[in-house]
Amino acid sequence: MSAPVINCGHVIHELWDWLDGEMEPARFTAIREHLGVCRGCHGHMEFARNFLEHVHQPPASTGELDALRNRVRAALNAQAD
Amino acid sequence: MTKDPAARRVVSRDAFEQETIRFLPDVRRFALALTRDATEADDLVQETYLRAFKARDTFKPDAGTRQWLFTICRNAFLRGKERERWVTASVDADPGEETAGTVALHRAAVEAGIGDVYDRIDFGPALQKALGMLAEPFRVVFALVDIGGLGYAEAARELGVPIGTVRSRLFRARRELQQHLLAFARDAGLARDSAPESA
Repeated sequence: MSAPVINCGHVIHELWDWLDGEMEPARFTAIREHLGVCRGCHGHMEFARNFLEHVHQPPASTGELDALRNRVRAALNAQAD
Repeated sequence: MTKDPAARRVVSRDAFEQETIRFLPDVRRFALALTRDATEADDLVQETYLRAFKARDTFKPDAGTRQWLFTICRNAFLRGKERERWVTASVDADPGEETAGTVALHRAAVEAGIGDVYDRIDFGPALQKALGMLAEPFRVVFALVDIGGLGYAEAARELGVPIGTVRSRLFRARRELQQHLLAFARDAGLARDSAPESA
């Protein structure tokens, strides 16, 4: 069986699925290979990936989370009593 | 009727806390994406943990603690705000077209000299502001997948919708968020075509 033919249109339509790892391994590999040789698609992929990397960064500071953690613990203690 | 005592798992407060409190940062991010307000998010996190504690004996650890907390958080949010109506909203588009929209945004950003826009803006506050401009069906899917870390199938199960609906809503959410972030960058004078004229 021959490998799937991937063009720029396919890559653009499936970019988010690829970045999320939500596709069959053979398709994932074929798109990765296309991205390795196509500067245009690679640039689009980097732009989308950069967005996701920023989204995935935790925004709250440690101090804020510690305060919230203590508040939740106190509420749980009060409920358990 | 006498219940079988072995069927009920008794979970102490300490054991509950040990199992759940490590997910508090994730629940807080998820709550913030839903409420768009830090104070409301903190209240929702507390409500989530209290509801989870009440239901602790029915929780099966192998079901995934984090996802269980997200479910409780989302239900508390929807119940509190009486926002169930979004579930039936007709809002779905073609996922492929939404992805193509992201590519078009990239081209526009490069042309405006802000291809690196996400590195140049204060991303966290800008994202919060942009999330506030999203309709609820999109915000919820974005929160589940991009903040909660659920896969498409898990999010579909969570929401009781087909996986294609999750994809289309997620991709539209991402495209709209990117659109808003680029607009903020233009408003801040970062884009080439929005630079202030020299005197």
